[in-house]
Amino acid sequence: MSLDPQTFTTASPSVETVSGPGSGTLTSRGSTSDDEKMRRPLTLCPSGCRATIHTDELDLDARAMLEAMGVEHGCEVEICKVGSPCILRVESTRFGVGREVAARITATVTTTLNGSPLPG
Amino acid sequence: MALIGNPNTGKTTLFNRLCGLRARTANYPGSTAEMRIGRCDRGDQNLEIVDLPGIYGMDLDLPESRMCRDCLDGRLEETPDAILVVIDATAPARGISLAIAAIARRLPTVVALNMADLAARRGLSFDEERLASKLGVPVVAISGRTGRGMDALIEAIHKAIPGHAVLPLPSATNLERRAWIDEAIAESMGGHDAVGSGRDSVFDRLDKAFTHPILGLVVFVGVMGALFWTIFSLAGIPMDLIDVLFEKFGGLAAAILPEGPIRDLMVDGIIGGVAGTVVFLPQILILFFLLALLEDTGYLARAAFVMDRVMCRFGLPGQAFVPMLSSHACALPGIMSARLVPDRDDRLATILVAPFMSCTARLPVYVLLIGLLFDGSPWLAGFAFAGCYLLGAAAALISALIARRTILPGRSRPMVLELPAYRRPSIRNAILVSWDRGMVFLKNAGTIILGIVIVMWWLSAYPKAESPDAAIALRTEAAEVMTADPVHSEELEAQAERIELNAQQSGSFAGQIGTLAQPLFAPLGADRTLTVGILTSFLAREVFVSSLAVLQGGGSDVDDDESVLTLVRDAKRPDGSRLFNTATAASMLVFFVLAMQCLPTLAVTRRETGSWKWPALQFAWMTGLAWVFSAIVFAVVTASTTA
Repeated sequence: MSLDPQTFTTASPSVETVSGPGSGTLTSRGSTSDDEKMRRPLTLCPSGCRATIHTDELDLDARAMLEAMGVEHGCEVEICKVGSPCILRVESTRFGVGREVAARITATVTTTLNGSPLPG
Repeated sequence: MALIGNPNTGKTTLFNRLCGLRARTANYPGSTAEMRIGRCDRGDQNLEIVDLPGIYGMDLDLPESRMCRDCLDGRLEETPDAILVVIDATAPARGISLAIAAIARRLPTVVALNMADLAARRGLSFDEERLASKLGVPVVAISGRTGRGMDALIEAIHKAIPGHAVLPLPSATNLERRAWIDEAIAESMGGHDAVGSGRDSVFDRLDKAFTHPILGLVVFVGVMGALFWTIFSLAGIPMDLIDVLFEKFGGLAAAILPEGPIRDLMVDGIIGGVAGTVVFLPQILILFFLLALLEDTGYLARAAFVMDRVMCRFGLPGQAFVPMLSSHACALPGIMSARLVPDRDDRLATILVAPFMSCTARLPVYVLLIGLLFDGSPWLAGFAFAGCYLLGAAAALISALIARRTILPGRSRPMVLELPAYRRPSIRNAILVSWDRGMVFLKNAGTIILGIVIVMWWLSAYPKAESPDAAIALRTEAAEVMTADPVHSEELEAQAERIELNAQQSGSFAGQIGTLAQPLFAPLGADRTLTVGILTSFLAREVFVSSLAVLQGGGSDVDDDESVLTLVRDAKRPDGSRLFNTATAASMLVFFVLAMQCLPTLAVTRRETGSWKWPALQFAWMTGLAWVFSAIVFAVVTASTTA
């Protein structure tokens, strides 16, 4: 069955982004204050964990580029290496992220190195 | 047909598979960016394919995305009749997103699921029919590397029609588009990506090593050392062969053509001038072959991060390191390899400063001037050599920083790179890439560079100077003693020839310009002779040594370092003082480290930047900087030696 985007709805979008050249303002919804508390810069996350990343502190161009590459705001990634560069894995693709960009990306760690969910 | 796809999806491999050597490189109309256009002939089916640059998104505010939009939306001279979208079968989501944007153009479109063999090995399977019905266009599983699926792909292209399925609208949110793509993948893809944890942990370890601040640097130095050692080792023989070949051509032309201006033009102007540039072809071919192999392995993306830590302090990205390093061999391949730098402003800054790096053509001049300065002090001479290289590199980096803060302001593209999977490189691909670069270089050598060398030859060869009385007297004497003492006769003839050459140098337009320009170079300690030497070396730096030898009466054939050194060391000014005192030698050394004295480099800069504005700026900045620093050095050393 094909989905008609004109009638397409999402039950409860946690994040919505609009990007690209000439696009309007970027919005992000659904980030609870708890989420915000759990967020930390990508550069401070442990290697080997999985995390949901937040790109809302990046400028438009960097954010649009990351989204086009498949590193979208709210997507879950595996953090393979922390440092310069940070190496992320999204699905089967790896990305190197320079320290300057990585410092402006925040992440919420969802599972730790051994695969167990984070306590609390 | 336009070929589009994300970077690292094997788009160029597919293009090479379809077109092979039947491809040429052309500029996008009104732009400096290149596109490759190829022809694919299969039976009675002929296709002209335009390989567009790899992009992550059609709507990004990046030059390559704009180019793709302009091409597909018909804003260039020709609108493609069809689009072939290449998708990586092992990671199809981003590719499908690009395919949606392409299909929205309402042109006949085909989707190629490339690397299908690799996907199958990983345990992934695709229902192409299902994905085709979801996208509304044909989908063909292929492997650009092995050639699997090529016939089916070409058949699909010829039958392609505009897409007819309902796709996410351009106004759809990312979340909506992503959900649609996930559903499309879930419906058409089976199996589980068995990207083994073993393979992943090997990749992890390699990534950690290759991007480590110290280990990564050690690996990088090793790889680059091996790369340039290979270039120097392998290029020597074909370079010598090219030299010999052009010498033979020159000899042949000289033997066939009657004496006169046509022969001079052919032998000294065209053949001699082109030989001086074409001799670098082996270096260019080997450099691009090895770079293509390295890029294919996936290593270069990691190396870019290693060097980014250093280069970003000077406003350059990590990718700029390879062009800068290549420029130590010759600025021509260095500037041409700046296309590894994705951002336009970063690339321009790299091209502008790359010729500061000390190339091999500067070596004879360094040997001569350092020999004059530190004769008998090998340690000091060694330090001076290293100092020349460091001065060039420092000037390049500081100039890049200044350029990025003034004429090329703005932030660099964010340093986010896809790290392609490590894999065995394709030799075939590397050969085709280096062939393509070689052809571009030869075309340049045969057009712009040829024109420049003809003009320079004409300036130094005309007007023809009368033979000086001293030369006539020597020739008469040579004729008289010919039978009695043929050896002495030959010596006299050679002496006469040197005097004539000297007279020609001084009387030519170049020589006259030298006389006029002498006051400009006086603050650097240069007299008229030295000024002519400097001016002739603007054609190519290495000419300086032979020019000085000729101007000091040694003849252009004096190429033994010691002979030239002795000749130049003993050279005197009209007032009887030494031509090269310490201050002049030091100021000339600094001048030759920093000045832009290579017309082929300016021609290649023009080609790579698409405008004469950039080579003009490059020439003015480098030569101006060289003049200022040389004048300072001359003044300081003169003051300290006379104090």
